[in-house]
Amino acid sequence: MIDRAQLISAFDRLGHAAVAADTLIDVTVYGGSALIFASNFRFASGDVDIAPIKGNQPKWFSEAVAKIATELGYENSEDWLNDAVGFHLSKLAKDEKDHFQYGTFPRAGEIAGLRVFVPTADYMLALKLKAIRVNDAVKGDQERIDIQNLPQVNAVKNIDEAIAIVGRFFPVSAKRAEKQRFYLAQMFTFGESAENAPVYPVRAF
Amino acid sequence: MRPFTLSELSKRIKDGASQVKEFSDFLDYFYGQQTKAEMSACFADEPSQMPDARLDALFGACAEYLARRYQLSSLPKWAFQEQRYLKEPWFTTTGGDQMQEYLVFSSPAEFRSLNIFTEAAPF
Repeated sequence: MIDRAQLISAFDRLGHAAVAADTLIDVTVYGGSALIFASNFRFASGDVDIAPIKGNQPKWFSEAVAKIATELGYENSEDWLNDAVGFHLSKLAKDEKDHFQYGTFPRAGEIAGLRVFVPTADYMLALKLKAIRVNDAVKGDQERIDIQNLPQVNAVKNIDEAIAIVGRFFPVSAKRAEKQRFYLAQMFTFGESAENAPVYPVRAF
Repeated sequence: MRPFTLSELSKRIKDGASQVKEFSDFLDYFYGQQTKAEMSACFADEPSQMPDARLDALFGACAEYLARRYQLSSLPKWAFQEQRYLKEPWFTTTGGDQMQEYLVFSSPAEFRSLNIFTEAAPF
């Protein structure tokens, strides 16, 4: 698993590699890693899901990713960073409106080589609810925590509001959301204000 | 790339690796295989016995489910060992009676038969 410190360190190194290549590259992070970056309720992830790099993935990027994989103790680059998430993303999501810039890397230094974007809280909730893996034998526990917290972050008060958010990004899925509605009704509560309220985004490294 | 089998997966988890990450990586590896022989090889060796009986059952269900789904020619015999059958039902949910009832119907036969009640498409 990759924790927050490892994730930030890895992106620092990617940022340094970009600066060395005299370029600036944008990376959009999804899933658990976006929550590690920008929430106060996720602390580790199996790997880092990113949107496919626009254009051809530069050689320096692939080499840096492979080097970091070795340093993290992984056999393959895709064990820690993979861009297979593209299939699950919304065609309606806009770069500027439905994502925000989490930060630039390397953190130290005047020149940024890497800009990291993450989805907004509503887009993140839509992605999680569309997949709704809360009864997964292996990943279910973590998915339940994410889905319990994301509606609170979005000030969602009931199931209809949650499904409406899904509909903004995945209209077809929202029209056939019987499973999501059933799961939400059976397993989750809405409108509770916890003492340690979930926050997303948290704007600090 | 080194072959990633269920046996290897069980060893890694037993050695303390993350169950979530290793299971995901195993599935990625399995889905990446080009031939049925390569897919079958992922299940050929018996996984180590785990401290958690649920994992023993899950490995058996996983092997049989994927073997049937991809119409592999043989099912691994170890998947039908007595230790794979849970004595108590395992509902992979925190939901109550209605959710459990739903999972009784949705769970694939390969899982139900081992007393695991889960999603209709667990992988």
